[in-house]
Amino acid sequence: MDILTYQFFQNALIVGLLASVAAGIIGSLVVIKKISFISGSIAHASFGGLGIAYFLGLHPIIGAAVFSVLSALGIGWVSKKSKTHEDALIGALWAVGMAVGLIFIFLTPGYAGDLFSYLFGNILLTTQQDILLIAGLDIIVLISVALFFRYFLAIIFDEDFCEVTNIRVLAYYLFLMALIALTVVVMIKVVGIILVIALLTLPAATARMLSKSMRGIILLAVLFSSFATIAGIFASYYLNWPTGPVIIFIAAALYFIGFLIHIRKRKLIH
Amino acid sequence: MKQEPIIELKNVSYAYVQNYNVLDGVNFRLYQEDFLGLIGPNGGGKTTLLKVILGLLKPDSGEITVLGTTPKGARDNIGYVPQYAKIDLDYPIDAFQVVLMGLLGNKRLLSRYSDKDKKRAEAALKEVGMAQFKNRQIGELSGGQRQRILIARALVRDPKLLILDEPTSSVDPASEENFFKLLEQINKKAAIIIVSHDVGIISGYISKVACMNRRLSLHMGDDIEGAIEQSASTCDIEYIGHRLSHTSHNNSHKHD
Repeated sequence: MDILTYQFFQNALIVGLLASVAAGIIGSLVVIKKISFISGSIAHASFGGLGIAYFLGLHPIIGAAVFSVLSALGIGWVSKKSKTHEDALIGALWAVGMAVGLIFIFLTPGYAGDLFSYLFGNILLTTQQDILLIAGLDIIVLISVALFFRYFLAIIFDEDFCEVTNIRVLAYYLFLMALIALTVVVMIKVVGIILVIALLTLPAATARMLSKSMRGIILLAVLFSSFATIAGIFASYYLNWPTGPVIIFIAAALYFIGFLIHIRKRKLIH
Repeated sequence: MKQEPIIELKNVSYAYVQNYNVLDGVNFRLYQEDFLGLIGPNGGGKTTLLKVILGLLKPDSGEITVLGTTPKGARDNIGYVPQYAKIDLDYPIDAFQVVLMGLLGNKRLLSRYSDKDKKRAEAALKEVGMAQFKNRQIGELSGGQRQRILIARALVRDPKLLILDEPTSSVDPASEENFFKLLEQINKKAAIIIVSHDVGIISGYISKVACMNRRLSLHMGDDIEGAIEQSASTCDIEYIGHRLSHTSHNNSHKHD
């Protein structure tokens, strides 16, 4: 375990754990609200912001955060106002975000060497600055969810009832969308834009099969995503495989095991 | 005895698509003691009418007064039980939390549920006969039990008006009678509007029936069966007598 003494490896573990906390909590809400595809679209849209930040010489994570929050608010607004356009727009945003990002990266002089790492993640290249940014985003997500948890749980369960009891459903929904966007940005460093959606939903979906209460689901989801991330970092180091895909593979394996336990339990009941 | 109506609609129209009115000049009054069955074909505007009364939709024209104020202003005194089909049966929440949700809109932002709130929620659960299922996850309850939890969530607000959208679809025939007994109890302190496509089930319990088929025709009186039968014919739905063997005398029923 000499590897633990290296700074880059410690950084990777810290960022992995930080991202797992946000992913487990927000992922649980995404899974019970059944908006995985909206989240996937937001993740891909963030690439547009990344490209623009790259072009302007800003920190890519800041660009991705701004752009994905704006996309999330747009999609959230449309999905509440017009069900007819929702599906097509989710798909369009997915691709347009990528297109914007690629054009701006193309326009930026010089070699875009770390482009690949944003698409598929490269947690072993984490810098101190990344850690601070991601920790900051993490704190925003954690505090928001802690404060508004009951409201999120209520509007996901029954929007009509909440509206009739004068709860501001649209405002909370858009707020939740913005938190999903921030979480996605936190996770880009870990697994990359293309794989984000799997790490956001797989641990939470696994947890959902194994626990009946929301608290239980969130705790297990954080646990599973932390395990997948940490185990993935170690495994990829020793196998010399790319980290993001290994993390996703472990998350998928956990889901499969959870699924087997789930059907076994059901058989015992019925 | 002359009473003020608690709901009054004057010439209310609403269209989702321009020039196609789902509600077309609806006039309607509801009084405090009423137990109204709202029937009508699919697409006839039943849910739209409810949404207008609840302030979820703003009518294109006409006037609407609910409990002496606007629909939105009246919300504190309305209990709403939405269509059951929209509820995620597997949602990770227990019965008590669902009932407390009824009070969430009254809370100041970020304040916790008080002991008083919890007592009220427990009382509402007791009222619907579900006190012992307080800590059950809703996924572990039967359809009828879940429906009672949703009613408790509406009752916890101490409403003067209870609105139920298609509640009977989830109630099995065996518990149907108990379900309506519960509503009759509630009717002593609140007016009730119950939407149903199954006229047969509700006919024995309601005191008025309204048929919503773009226009609304209201029937009431002693002979509720006759009124329903007449509604059924204006409403273009098939009505099969539920409790009485009503032989056909379509034009001879009383109605005032």
